[in-house]
Amino acid sequence: MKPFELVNASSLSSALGALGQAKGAVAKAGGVDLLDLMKEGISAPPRLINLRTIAGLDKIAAASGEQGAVLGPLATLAQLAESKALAGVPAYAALAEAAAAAATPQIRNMATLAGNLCQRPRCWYFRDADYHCLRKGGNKCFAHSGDNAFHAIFENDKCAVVHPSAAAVALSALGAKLELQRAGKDGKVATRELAMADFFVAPSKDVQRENVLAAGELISAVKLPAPQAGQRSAYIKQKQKQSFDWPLGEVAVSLTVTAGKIAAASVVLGSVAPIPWRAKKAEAALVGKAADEALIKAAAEAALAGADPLDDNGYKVPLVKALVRRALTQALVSK
Amino acid sequence: MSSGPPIRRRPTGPVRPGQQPQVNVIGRSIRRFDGKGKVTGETPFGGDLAGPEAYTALVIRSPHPHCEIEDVELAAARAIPGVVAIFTGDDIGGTNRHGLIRRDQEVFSRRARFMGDCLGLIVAATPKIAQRALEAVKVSYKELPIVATMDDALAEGSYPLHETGNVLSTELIRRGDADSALAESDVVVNTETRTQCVDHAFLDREAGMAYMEDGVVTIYASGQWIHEERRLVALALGLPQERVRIIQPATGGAFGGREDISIQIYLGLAALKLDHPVRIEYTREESMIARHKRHPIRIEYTLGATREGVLTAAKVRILSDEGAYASTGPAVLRKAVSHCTGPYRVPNIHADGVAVFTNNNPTGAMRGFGACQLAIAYESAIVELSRVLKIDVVELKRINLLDDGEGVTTDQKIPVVGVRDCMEAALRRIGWDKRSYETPAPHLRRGYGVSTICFGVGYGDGFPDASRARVRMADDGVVEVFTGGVDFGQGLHSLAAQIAAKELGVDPLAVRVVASDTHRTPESGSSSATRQTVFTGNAVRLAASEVAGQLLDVAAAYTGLHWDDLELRGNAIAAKHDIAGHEDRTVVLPLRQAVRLGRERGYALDVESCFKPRTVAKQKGTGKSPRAFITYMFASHVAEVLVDIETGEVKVARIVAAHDVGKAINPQQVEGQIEGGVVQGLGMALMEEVVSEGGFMKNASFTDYIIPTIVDTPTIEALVIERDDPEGPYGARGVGEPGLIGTPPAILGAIADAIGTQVHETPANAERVWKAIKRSERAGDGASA
Ligand SMILES: Cc1cc2nc3c(=O)[nH]c(=O)nc-3n(C[C@H](O)[C@H](O)[C@H](O)COP(=O)(O)OP(=O)(O)OC[C@H]3O[C@@H](n4cnc5c(N)ncnc54)[C@H](O)[C@@H]3O)c2cc1C
Repeated sequence: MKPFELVNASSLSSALGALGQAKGAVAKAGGVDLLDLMKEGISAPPRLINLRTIAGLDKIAAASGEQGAVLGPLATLAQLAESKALAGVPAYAALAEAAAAAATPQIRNMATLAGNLCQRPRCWYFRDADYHCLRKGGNKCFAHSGDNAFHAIFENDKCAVVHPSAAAVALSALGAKLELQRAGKDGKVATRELAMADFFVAPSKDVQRENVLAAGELISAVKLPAPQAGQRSAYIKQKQKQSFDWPLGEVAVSLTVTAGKIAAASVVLGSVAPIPWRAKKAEAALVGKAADEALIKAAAEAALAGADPLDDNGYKVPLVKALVRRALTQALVSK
Repeated sequence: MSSGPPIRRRPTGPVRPGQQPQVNVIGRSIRRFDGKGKVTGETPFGGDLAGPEAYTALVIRSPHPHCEIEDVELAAARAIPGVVAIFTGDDIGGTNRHGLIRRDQEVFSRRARFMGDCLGLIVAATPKIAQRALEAVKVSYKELPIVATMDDALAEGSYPLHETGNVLSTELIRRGDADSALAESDVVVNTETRTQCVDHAFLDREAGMAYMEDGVVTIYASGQWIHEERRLVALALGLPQERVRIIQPATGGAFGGREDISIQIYLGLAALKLDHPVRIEYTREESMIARHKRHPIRIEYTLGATREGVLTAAKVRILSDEGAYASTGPAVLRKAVSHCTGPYRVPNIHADGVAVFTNNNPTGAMRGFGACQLAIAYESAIVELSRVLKIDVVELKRINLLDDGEGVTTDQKIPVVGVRDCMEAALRRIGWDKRSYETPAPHLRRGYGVSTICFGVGYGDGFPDASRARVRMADDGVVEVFTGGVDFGQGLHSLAAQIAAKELGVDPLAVRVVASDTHRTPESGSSSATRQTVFTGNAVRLAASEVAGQLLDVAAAYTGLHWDDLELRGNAIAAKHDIAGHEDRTVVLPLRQAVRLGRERGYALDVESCFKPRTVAKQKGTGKSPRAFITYMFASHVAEVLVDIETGEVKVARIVAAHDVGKAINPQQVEGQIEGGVVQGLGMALMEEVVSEGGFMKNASFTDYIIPTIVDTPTIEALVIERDDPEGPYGARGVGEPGLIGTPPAILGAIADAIGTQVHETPANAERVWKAIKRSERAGDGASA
């Protein structure tokens, strides 16, 4: 690991200022992924701006009335998993479940929401300094000809990484918005708000980045829409072993059921594509119908339509189908 | 006896030596004396020993799995302030070679055969400087063709990895006439089993230190056989053995993974050349890349039987990936072949094993040592046979399991075969006859699997295998045990104390154990091959009982009683029973006094003993041996699993593991070994796999190489069966390896029971199980969603 400077920020605006000034300065939240990348020699930022020293950024504000829940970017996965404002609200349950299922108890205590969204992919070629792959500025995706059991089955023609964030899958299903801030030229803070779908970047657009964050820009809040009557959500993850492991596949769904019919549906697949993968065909198959086993099966088929596995990851197709069925069933039976 | 010497009568007061009833020390779960320090974190391990003044050494490793090293450019690295020295092959005085069976690995390689090969050793003032120096080293090399797989190795014109070509060794068994017997069999089944490459994944990474003391290179590093490691260090460095001292610190796990040399030679070289303390500590990634692994083995198995289910013949072909160097490979192959029919009565056997070199990690010792891969194969063939014959697996086993006095694969006749006792006990515990197939959800299937396995204890096959131990009475009356045997967590040193305590009638926790120091302790051989309970246990027992005899002589002379009327108990020598003239059993001579008297009379009370049973080398042409191993262990596991037939996920609900250990000297330690073996076996059965791609290891971290945690661990019930071994201490036979060996076949059998078809490749991860379900659906049998 190369030496670096650590700056403890005291407020969000000072952090934004520090990030805006120094070239190459990078925000550090829990540091779980950042330090991993630095130790592995994948990145070597000269200066880290520590966000954990800023008070109040881990706040979770419960939904009330027309106002949805607002999550501080520094809320840890452990906090999200245990928060009554999420786990206790059927519409938000998927996020609490996703946070609870990620990584290990120790990591969940360190890992933050924003860090989880902005972590870099887990591809073992990308993570190995000896492979100068497409995502690192090289000219080849080694997974295409290599061992690709854990890689993408959608949008994998350029770079076959899967997006690693569980929170991203759940937030996409919940229709969350991200509030981003950066220090403007005038010294004032510039704020913009993006839907999840507009935040993540597919390889066809830019193979070297996973999101649209500009230099010096931070996620300052994550905003959930207010829960709808009859809305419930669920998250399901399949691992290689029962404890602490990355997903082979994961699914988050949100359903709004009124008068026995599905009024709104979102189905998002994780660990299958370089971005959280919205299964629009499955959503279309669900909306306006009364849920039964046949419908759930049809939705699962639709969710995986168009999947194009590589040599070693064909198993993800039936696996994720089963997960979609289970996530839908779980959301439907939850009260 | 009226005018005999004065005899001390019952003393008063709280301390009453000799008065406690003779409690049985053997068979009691005595607390481990090293337990508290380890639990509280006070015990230093290899990485905790060096002081701040010690230099840090860092290994320069090969940039490529197979290459000719043209140049290692060191000038830039040497110029970095704080870099003390960089050593290469030019600096080493001895053979520059190591290897347990063949000295085929260079300490500093000029031609690298896998990614772990070492090209040079950086020594710097601090770890950071060493790391910077490593980054400044430039290696130029010529790539050589990579032999990535066993098929590559055997392909015509494959690039030879060693002068002798790509075949390391071959083994065979020829018993009876398997071909004719198969031709005449009513049924014949064929299976092909593929086992994976497994890492030992011990938590205490390779770490240690060395310094010079009176011209002796003194190395603190964790191995499994310090005296052999000393020989190898001396050889590589060109020193007489007396100038090398190895001391083993507390060690967190080994599992065979510390049998090959790791950091010892590097540490010794740096300390010798620089006359300064030096430390090494591998990172997890380095530990995984540098260390040997468990052999991936491919086994083609043909098994014949009569219609009634009586086994007739086995034909077995074994192909084993040795990786880049021999390590203990030839012995692993022999163990695989010599255990190829397990605990079954198979009159005709035709087995061939071939071990080939590749550019993968060298493969060598790991708990199970070839026998565990073969257990997966023979149990898979038995399950297949049971399916074809429509005879319940347990019935089939009952028909074919060996009985006392019958011969195993090598035709060695085993006097005590406890396998049936184990199986019946395990079946009773799980409630076999009333087992339920109910599941909580329609996509789940329940299944039960039974394994029955055997394992030869010790090195065997004529290898001169011995343990020495020394037992001495210190002047303060404390019993001292000296053993060179290493304890990496299994409890050998506590066991040695317990045995000495039993023979000398003292409290086991009061025994002083001096261990694992080549300058102070006698050679006790390797802590491997499930051998130390029998070997070092016997050596300690012999030495301690001889010291006990001397003490009884002293006491007899002193008291005028016959030594046969005396015994050692409660820190004293006391009368065994009421003796005429000595009305009660209170006649005592405190141990400390006996030691003083003994020394005055010229008794050394200091005995070194050796336990060296003989085994017989295999017969050329048949591979048979009347005594390949000194004794055999038997075990049976029953696993209960739930399989998710939509995703292929397997959850192990329960494992019952019954082991005939002869005698459990310390039952808690025995159960601990069985439980640990079960968890490690579960990892092998379901999740662990070293993934290599053209010689590059892809998952050298615990993020990507996954091992079971407590969350993945089912209920484990260890059943200890005790049928005395004729040669073990107090009838004990050992316990280390079979707990692992019995687990994968039980789990795989349970999966097959649940889904109606077998998974023939380990680990049986969700994907492989799912694919097996789909294959059998297509074939029109098995489970369906
Ligand atoms: C063994 C293991 C298993 C794991 N399993 C899972 C799993 O199953 N599912 C899963 O989702 N994750 C998993 N993870 C990943 C882990 O959850 C992430 O590494 C963690 O969430 C990162 O959060 P952090 O706060 O530590 O981020 P950091 O490492 O501090 O930062 C990560 C990135 O986010 C950026 N960043 C941080 N805060 C902000 C902000 N406010 N605005 C903009 N950018 C920001 C940083 O600059 C950096 O680029 C696992 C990790 C490990 C080591």
